[in-house]
Amino acid sequence: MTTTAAPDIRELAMRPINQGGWRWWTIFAALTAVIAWGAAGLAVQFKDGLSVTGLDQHVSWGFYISNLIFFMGISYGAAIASAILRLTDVPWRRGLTRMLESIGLAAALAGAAFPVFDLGRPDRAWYLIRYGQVGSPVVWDVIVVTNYLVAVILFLYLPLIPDFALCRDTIGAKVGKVRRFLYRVLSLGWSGRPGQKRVLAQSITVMSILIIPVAAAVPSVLAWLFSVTVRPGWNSTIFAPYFVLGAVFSGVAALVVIMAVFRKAYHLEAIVTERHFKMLGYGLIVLGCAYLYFMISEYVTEGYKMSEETGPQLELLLTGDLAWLFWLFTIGGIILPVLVIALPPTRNIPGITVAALAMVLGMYVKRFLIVVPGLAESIIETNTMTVYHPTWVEVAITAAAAAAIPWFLMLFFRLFPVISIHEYEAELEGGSSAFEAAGSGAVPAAAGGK
Amino acid sequence: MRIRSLVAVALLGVVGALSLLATAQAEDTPQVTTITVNPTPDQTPGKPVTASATLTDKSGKTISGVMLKFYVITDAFGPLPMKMAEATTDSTGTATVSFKPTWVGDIKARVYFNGTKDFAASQADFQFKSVGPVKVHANADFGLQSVRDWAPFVVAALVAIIWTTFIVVFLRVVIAMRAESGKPTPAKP
Repeated sequence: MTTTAAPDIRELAMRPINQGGWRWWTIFAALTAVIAWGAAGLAVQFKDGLSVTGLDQHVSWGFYISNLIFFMGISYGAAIASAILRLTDVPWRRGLTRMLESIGLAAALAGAAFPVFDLGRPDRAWYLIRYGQVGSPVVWDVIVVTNYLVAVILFLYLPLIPDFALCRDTIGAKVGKVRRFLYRVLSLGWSGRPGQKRVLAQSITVMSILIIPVAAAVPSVLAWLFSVTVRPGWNSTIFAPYFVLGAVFSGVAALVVIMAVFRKAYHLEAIVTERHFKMLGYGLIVLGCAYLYFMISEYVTEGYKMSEETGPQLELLLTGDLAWLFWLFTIGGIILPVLVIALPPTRNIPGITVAALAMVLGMYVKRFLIVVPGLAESIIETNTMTVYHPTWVEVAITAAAAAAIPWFLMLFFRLFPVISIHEYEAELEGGSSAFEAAGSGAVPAAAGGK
Repeated sequence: MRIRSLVAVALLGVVGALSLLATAQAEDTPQVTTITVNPTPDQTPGKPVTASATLTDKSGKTISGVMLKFYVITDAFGPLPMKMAEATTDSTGTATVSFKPTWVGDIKARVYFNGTKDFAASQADFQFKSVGPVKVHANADFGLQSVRDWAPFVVAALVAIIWTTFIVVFLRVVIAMRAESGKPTPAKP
């Protein structure tokens, strides 16, 4: 490793900035069209109310709350993964942290909107603040999601400061006034002084530590939203760790997919290597097996007791109308993808990417299987199971949210470097972390692997 | 005489036409229906309530194969019907449902028939006594009250600590960057 590689990293990381071309615009236009379709669906729903959705008195949480759990899960999974990689100072993290943190923000923004959509009357969202009761898990949810949104913005912003300065100093003169102003203001006058490096390193470390409990609180509270009810299928003590694990699992899987796309699109092969995919693939094997273990543990204990309330739920999932979805998730979303990554012939970039994509889609199905069957069984009317079918409005809004994440990332990486250049260059200069070259020692040295 | 005869014929014609129109209209108008709620036994502790109602037309003939919806009248936000169950009438025109009351006392309920092309909508009220909901979960009587009392303050303190950390981290970075921004960057060895 020599310092001569540094300019290449700058060139590679900043290549997406200002890079347009017909491919970029075509994909951007297609994603914008999907978002516009979702906006049309939302307009119809705001005009005519929730009757345009498949939601009813029984299944009042359908696609929307599944989406909340799914997108927020990807977000805090990505944020927690980035924080752990930073705290352990794993050397190969430098190609990933920026992507993880930006996925964290994009998915959080997409997910946080869904409770408002599910209200039907968005103007009543502020009732939660005006009339909210501290004993309500919905209020807890608002608190932890707000905390998390601020945390994830700071967590993304702090490591970007030196790169904002780099943009200010290198391309600032070539871009428009607004962008030049943006780079100048956001860089906060960074000049790479030791004092600046020390404070920034300490701040990133504090945020890396803080974001883990703040992020873990979100799936935990979301899980309690379900498990503090006495509703069959939700009344479970395992839900909070189950949701946290599911979040990290889907977050890392989403990172692999997005990493593969951006690697190809922005020619980042020199920075994001097969080793990154393999290391994350090993992580996915562990997370997938752990999730499977949690799932088996949950269903075995419930199935052994087979109470009057949970019996119909389990039958619905394992052998009933939703069995095809359940087994599609279990086999196609966990077992097969884990095998694909575990077996050496398929443990390569295409194999790991396809497996990760199957895991992401599988986890969406799983969230649907947590939310909907729990509501389908009436707790008032005996022996009644409602069937939920989402309408085009819910499908359009869901597709728009899914499209909004790559849309946001495309715009983001058009303005800011896709890789943390400063951290890369600091490593090349001899520090084990981005800021150790400054002698701060605030970030722990690499735990092997350098 | 002829004129009188013509007027009489014309009047007869008008009357006849009107009666034909009335008959045709009567044939198009859906038949009036009646819902008779069978006596609903008071709820037995631990068991669901079974209610049934029979739908008949104006001649007293039972109507089968249509949906009857059962509601209880709640008082939470004024008298509003809350749907409990629905069932289709059988060959005897009777729909039977079973549901779990979620509160105790005299419960006012209502059955609705929404009507079809042939039969007009109707409704009927009934009442039964609920001695207690079917318990899927029972709160323990013992305390934790002190924990409940303190929990909001502990949570508020935690949230305050988190936000204070956010603000301190951000302000410290801003101040440190500004303080050092004017100084020259040290030359690299």
